[in-house]
Amino acid sequence: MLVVSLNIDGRTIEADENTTVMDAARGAGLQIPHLCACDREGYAPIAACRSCLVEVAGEVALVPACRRKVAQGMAVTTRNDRIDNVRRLVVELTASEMGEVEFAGQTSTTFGRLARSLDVTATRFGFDAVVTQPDTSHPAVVFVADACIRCGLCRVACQDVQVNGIVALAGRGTETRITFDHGRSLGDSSCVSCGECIQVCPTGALRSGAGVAGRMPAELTIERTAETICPFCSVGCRVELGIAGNRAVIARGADGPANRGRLCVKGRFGFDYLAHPERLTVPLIRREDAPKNPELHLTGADVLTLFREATWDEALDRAAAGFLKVKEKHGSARLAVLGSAKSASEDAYVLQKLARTVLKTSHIDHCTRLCASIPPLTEAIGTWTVTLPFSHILEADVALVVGSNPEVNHPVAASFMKNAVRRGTKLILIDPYRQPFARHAAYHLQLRPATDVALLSAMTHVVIAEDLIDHAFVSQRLEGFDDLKARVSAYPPEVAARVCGVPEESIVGAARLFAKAPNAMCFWGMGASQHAHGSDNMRALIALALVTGQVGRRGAGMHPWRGQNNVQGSCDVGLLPMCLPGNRNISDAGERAFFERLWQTDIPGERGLTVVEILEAAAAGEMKGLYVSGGNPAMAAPDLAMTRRALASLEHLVVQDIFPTETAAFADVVLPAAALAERSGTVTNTDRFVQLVETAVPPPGAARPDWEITCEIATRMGARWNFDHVGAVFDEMVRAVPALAGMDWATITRERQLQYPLSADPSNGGSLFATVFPAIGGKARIAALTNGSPGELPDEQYPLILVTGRVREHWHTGSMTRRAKTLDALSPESLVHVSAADFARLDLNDRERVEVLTRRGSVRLPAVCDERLQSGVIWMAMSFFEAPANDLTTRHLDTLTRAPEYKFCAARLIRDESKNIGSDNQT
Amino acid sequence: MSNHLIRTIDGAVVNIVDDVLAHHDATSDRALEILLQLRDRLGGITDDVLVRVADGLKLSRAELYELATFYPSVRYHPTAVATRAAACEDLVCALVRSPHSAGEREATRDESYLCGGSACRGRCDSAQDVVGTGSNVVHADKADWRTLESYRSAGGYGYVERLRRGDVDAADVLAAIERSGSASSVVRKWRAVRDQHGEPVVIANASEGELGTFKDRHILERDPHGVIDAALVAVAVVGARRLIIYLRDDYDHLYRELQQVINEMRVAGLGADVEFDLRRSGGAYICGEETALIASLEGQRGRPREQPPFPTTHGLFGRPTLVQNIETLYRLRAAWGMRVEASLPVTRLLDPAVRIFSVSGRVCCPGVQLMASLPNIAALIAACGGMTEGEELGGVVLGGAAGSILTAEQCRLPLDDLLRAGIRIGSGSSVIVFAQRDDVRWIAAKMAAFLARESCGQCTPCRVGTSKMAGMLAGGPLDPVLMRSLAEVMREASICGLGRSAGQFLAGAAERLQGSAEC
Ligand code: SF4
Ligand code: SF4
Ligand code: SF4
Ligand code: FES
Repeated sequence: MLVVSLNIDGRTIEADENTTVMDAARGAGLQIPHLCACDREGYAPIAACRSCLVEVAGEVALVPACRRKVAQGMAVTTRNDRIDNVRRLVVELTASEMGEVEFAGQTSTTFGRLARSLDVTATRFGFDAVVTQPDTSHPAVVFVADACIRCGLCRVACQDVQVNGIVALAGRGTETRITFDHGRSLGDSSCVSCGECIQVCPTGALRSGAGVAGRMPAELTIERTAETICPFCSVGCRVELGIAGNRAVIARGADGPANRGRLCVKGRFGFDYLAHPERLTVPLIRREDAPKNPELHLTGADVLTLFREATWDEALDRAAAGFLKVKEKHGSARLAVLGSAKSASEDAYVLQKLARTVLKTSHIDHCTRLCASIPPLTEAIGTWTVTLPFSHILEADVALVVGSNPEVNHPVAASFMKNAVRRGTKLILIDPYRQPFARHAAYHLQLRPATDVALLSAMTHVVIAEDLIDHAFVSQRLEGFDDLKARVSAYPPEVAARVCGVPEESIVGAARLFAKAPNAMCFWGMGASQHAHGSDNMRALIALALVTGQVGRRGAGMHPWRGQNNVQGSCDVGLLPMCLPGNRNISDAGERAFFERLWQTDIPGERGLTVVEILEAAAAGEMKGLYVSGGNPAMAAPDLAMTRRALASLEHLVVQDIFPTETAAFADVVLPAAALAERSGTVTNTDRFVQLVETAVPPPGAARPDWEITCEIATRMGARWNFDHVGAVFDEMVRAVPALAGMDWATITRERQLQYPLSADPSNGGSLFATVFPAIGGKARIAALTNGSPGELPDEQYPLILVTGRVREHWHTGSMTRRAKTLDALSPESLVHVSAADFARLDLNDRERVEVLTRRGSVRLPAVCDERLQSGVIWMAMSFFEAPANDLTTRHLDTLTRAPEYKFCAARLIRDESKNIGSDNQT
Repeated sequence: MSNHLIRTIDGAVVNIVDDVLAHHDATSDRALEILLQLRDRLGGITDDVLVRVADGLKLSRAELYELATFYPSVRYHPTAVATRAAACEDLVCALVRSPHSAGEREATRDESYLCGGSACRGRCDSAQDVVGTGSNVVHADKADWRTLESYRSAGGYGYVERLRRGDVDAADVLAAIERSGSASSVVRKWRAVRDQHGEPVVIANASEGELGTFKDRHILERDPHGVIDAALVAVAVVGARRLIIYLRDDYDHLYRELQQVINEMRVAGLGADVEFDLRRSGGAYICGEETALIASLEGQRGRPREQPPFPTTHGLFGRPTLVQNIETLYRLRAAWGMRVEASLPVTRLLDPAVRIFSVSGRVCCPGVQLMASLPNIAALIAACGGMTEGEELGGVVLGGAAGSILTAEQCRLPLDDLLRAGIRIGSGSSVIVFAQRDDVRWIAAKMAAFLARESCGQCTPCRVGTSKMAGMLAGGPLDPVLMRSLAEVMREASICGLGRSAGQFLAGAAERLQGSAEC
C-alpha cells in the first residue's frame, strides 16, 4: 500500500494508490456526481454514464473519476465551465433515454437529484417516444424499462456482487437493454429476489413489487430510518428500515460487518410481518370451553378463537401460578423451558436464569438443537464457535462445503462464497442435490444420501496414503491420528466410489486439492448434521481438516453453518440442558458454584432433556409444565402427531410469541412479545459478531420484549432481580459468559458491533487457534465414530427417501415469512420435489396433487419434477402449515447432538385419490 | 416462479451441441467461437441451444445471452433459425441498389431503409450482389491465393527462419523496421510488449469493419502467407508462443482459406513452435478496436476499455498483447528485404509510397486501388473507370461511417490541401463515391444509423448520442444548435474513438447540411 498525494480542486489530498479519484475526493468530503458508480464492496467501476468526468492536468480528454486511479502529483479539477457544460449535456442526454412520464417521476431517485442539481428539468433531445409496459410478472421485483438509463449497475449487482447471474445488459448499440436470464420476463426468470438491483438502481427502473411493504407506497414518504438485524438466519445482516407512520415500509441493506450492504429475499421483503393483522397485541387466556385437542392442527386466527383477552397482570399471574402449581404437585423436574434462537441474547439469558433459579429445572433447550452443527467441533477442539468468519473464504484457496445449499439457506454468505470463487477460490461441494450453486464448484461430489462418512473417510485415506498430511500439525497439535489412520484404511477411494456413487478420480482429485491448498476452509450445514449419524459425518470432515492442518490461519478453518440469527448468542448464554452460560459443564460443581454465587441461589446440577426428549417425556406423561418462548415445536419438531399429543397433554403451557402459532393452540396462557425490530438488545451472528439492535418501530398494542415478560413471571414466582433495563441484563451476561469478556452495555451501544473474543490477535482477522485449541491440553482430538446409520431405511412399503429442508423465501416454520406478503407470493405453497425418474415412473403431471406417507403420518400436496434430485429421493420444505413436512419425519436422534434425522426417512408417494373431482380439469 | 427444474431440448440438437462443446476445453473464453461453430452447423442459435451451452460452460444464461445478442453473427433468435438473411442495407449497397434522390426519398417515407435490413459484409466492391449470409454468400469470392511454394520461392519465410536459427536477433529486426521507415508505432509497440513481464500474445487483426473497407480481404485473398510471415516475425521478436488470427466473420471464404494455409504450414514444418489460433469476430464493427477485440477474445462482449492501461502491457487476460492489422503486417516485410513482384500486384504494398484504397459506390469498377501517387480524389475515381454511366460526381464519403462527406469540388482539390485542412483518410482508406443526384442528407443519415447500430452501447454519450443523431438526420427540420450540443457531448464524453469520431462527424454534417440547405 502506497500513499500518494494529489490535488483536487486546489486541495492537497493523501490517498492509497489503489483508490479512484472519486473515492479519494469522497474521503476528503468532496462529492463528485455519479450514476453508475457504487462505493460498496464488489462494485467495480463501470464508467459508462459519464456524469463524473473531471479534468486531469496534462490530459486533453476528460477522465471518469469513478475509474481513474489516483497518482502521485496528479492535479484534478472537478468543476469548471467545460466540465459543468459537458456534465449538464450528459445528464440531459441521459434523460432523453427515458420516457417522459418516468423522467417526471424522478423526484427522490439518485438520478432525479443529480438532474435537479444541474437544473436539467427537460431534455432538448426528446424523450424516448416508445412507451413500454412495465414488467410486473414478478411479485418482488418490477422493471420499468422507460426509466432505465442502461447504466449497468443492476447488472453488476446481480452478476458480480450477488452472483445470481440474472440481469443482463443485452444487445448492442441503440438496442442495448436490460434483460433477465435469456430474455425472459422477470417472473419467468430465475431471479431469486435478493433486491440488490433495486437497491442500487439510480432511477428506480427496478423497483419493489406492487402491494408489498418493500415498496414505498406513493402517498407515503419515508419519515425516518432505523437499523435492525435481520431475524432470518445466522449471517446477521444489518438492515436499514425506512419508516412511515411507525411502520417499516422498505428495507435496504445496511453496512453490517457480515453483509456489507447486501440482503437476501427474506431480509429485503420479509419485514411486513411486523405489521401483520395477526400479530398478538394483548395477553390471552384459554377459554374454559376450549379443550386441547391433539387431533386439531390450527394456526393464526383459528387459534385465537380458543382464547379470551386478558390484562397483563391477570395473564402473568396465571402463567406464574400454573408453574408454581406444577412445581408443588409434581416437582421441578416436571417443568421445562423451550426458548428460541431468534430472540435476543438477553431474552435467552433471562429465560435460562428463570429455569435454573426459579423453576429449578435443567430441562431447558431451544431450536438450535435441531441444527446442531457445533458439538462435534467442540468435541474435537473445544470451541463452541466457528474458528473463523465465513468471509475468510475470500482469502482461502479451497473451500470444502458439505451438506449445505447456501444459496437458499444463507444467501448473503453464499454471495461472498461466489465472489471468492470468482477471485480464484476452488470450491468442493459434497451434497446429493445438484443445486444451482454447484456450477461454481471445481468438484461437485454428488454422493448418495447418508454416505458422507464413507466419502470423507476416503478423502482422508487418500491424504494419508499420499502423504499429504501436515506432519507438524499432526505431531504437535493432534491426538488420535493412529486410530484415524486405522479407521480410514477401510475406505480406499474405490470402495467409497461404489458406496457413494461418486467417481473415484473425483474423490482423489478433491482430496488432493483440499490437502495441497495453502489455506482451505470447511463449511458444513444441516445436510451433514440432521442425521441419526450426523455427528459421524461431521467428525469425519473435521478429521480431514485436522490431519491436513487446515485450521488456525487466515482463510484456513472450520465454519459450521447455523440456522437462526442468534444461535451463537443463545448458546453462549446457556439456553441448553447440559451447559451453564459460557458453555460451562453443568455437572461440574465448581462451575455451578460460580453461578450460585452470581445468582445467589442453588441450581440443579443434573443434565436436562433436549427438545425432542422434552416432548417425548410430555407425551409419556412425565412432563407437566412447559414455557415456550419464541419457539414453535408444533411445526418444528419431528413427528408432529406425537408432538401435538405431547403439547395437548401438558397441565400448564405458556406460549410467548409474536403470532398465534401452531404451538399456541395448545397453550393455557399466550403472552404477546415484541419482535426483534421492536426492542433493543444484542444478537450474535455466526461469525461471533455481537450486534446491537435498537427499537426501530414500537411493538404493537401491549406486546413487550421477551426478557421483560420473563422477568415479570420470575418476580411473580418470588425472584428478586434488578433488571431495570436491557443493558443491565447485558452487563450481568458479560459476567456470566467469559467469551464476552471486556464488553459492557455502554461500549456495545457505542460500537454497535464487537467480534469476540476481544483478546484475539487482530492480525488473524478473526481466525482463531493459531497455536493452541481451547480443549483440555490445548490439542485437537480425533473422536471415534459411533458408526450410526439412518434410523429408518427404505423398504418395500416405503421405498423412497424423504429429505426435508427449506426454501429460500421461508424461514423455519414460516410463522413470520408466511405472513410477509411478497415472500408468500413468491413461495405460496408446499411442493414435494420428485426426481425425474420417479416422476416418470409414477406417471405424474406437473403440480398434480399427491399423498406422501411415512410410518408417522401423511400429507397431501402438489408434486413437481426436479431433475436435480437423485432418483429414489423426494424433498419437501418444512415451513408450510398446510402440508407440514414434520408430520412425516422421524424422531431418531443423533447420540451426541440429539438432533433429529430431518434429512432421511422412508416414505411412499402415491397419487392423491381423494382429490376433488374436477381438479384434473384445472390447468 | 416458473418451474426451472425441467428442461427440454431436441435430441439431435443436444448431440450437436455436446459435440461442439466436447471439442473445446469448456472455458468461458471460448464461448463466442462455440456459438459460431454451432451457428455454422445449426444455422443459428435458439434458446434451447443457448441454455445447454451455458450449462456446459458453467455460465449463467444471462451471461451467454449477452454475448449472443451482442454479436450479430451468432444469429440468435429465441425460437427460430432464419434460413437466409436479408440483403445488405448499409450505405454502399443501398446506394448502388436503389437510387435515393431527394425527391424519391420524400416519395417513399419508409423508415426501414435506414439500416433496417442486414449489415455491411465487406463486399462493398460488388455491392449489387450482396445478399445472403456469412455462410452462403452469393457471389464469387476469390479463392486462388498464392501457394506456400510460390511464396517461399520469392524468399518468403526466409527471414523468420534466420531469426529462429539465430542468424539475426530481435534487435536486428527492430532496427531493420526502424530503418525501413515504417510507422514508428510498430517499433514502439513491439518493444513495449517485449519488455513487459508475462507471456505475450500476438494478434493479427483481420476484423476490418469500416463501412466501404475491404482492403484486408483483398490482401488475404491474394497473399495470405505474406501476412502470416510477418506475424511470425512479430511472434519471435516479442517472445510469444501464440498467434491469434482474428478474422472478420463475414469472410467465411477466408476462414476456410486460412485453415488450409495453416495446415500447409504445419505440413511444411513452418512455425512449428507457434500455436495458431484462428478465431472469428462476432460481426461487430467495434471489435476492430483493439481493446474491444481483446474483450471478445476473452469471451466478453466487445466493449472498448478505457486506456491506459494499453494492450501492450495489459491485454488479453492481462498479458502483454500485440495487436497488428493486416496491412501493416503485410507491408512490414519490406524491412527485411521482401520485394515487389511484378506478377503479383498486391506486393506493390511493399513500396511505402504506394497507398491502398477501397473504392466503392457509383464508379465503373469498384475495388481496391493501389496508387503510387494521388493528386486528388478525382484521379482515384478515374482509376476506377470513372463514374457509372450517366452519373455525375456528387462527392465521396472519405474514411468510413464517421468520415467526411466531401463535395465534388473537394474531390478535385489537391489531396494534400484536404489533408492539411484536417480531413482524414482513415485507416480503412474507404472511399464511397456518390452521384450528384444522391441525397447527401440521406447519406449522412445512413452513416449515422450505421454508427448507432455499431456503437457498443456502453457509454451514454455514444449509445444515446448516435441514436439521437440518426433520428435527427433521418428527417424533419435540422436544428444546428442542438446538433452542435450533441456533437460536443459525444466528442467530449464518449469512452472510445467511435463515439468521439461520431461526434466529429455530426459536427461536420451539421455544417455541411446547413451549408447545402442554404445554397
Ligand atoms: S433481485 Fe437479485 S436475483 Fe433478482 S434480478 Fe435483482 S439482483 Fe438479480
Ligand atoms: S435498471 Fe436501473 S440500474 Fe439497471 S441499467 Fe437501468 S437504470 Fe441502471
Ligand atoms: S464511444 Fe461508443 S463504441 Fe466507444 S465505448 Fe462508448 S458506446 Fe462503446
Ligand atoms: S459514475 Fe463515473 S462514469 Fe458513471
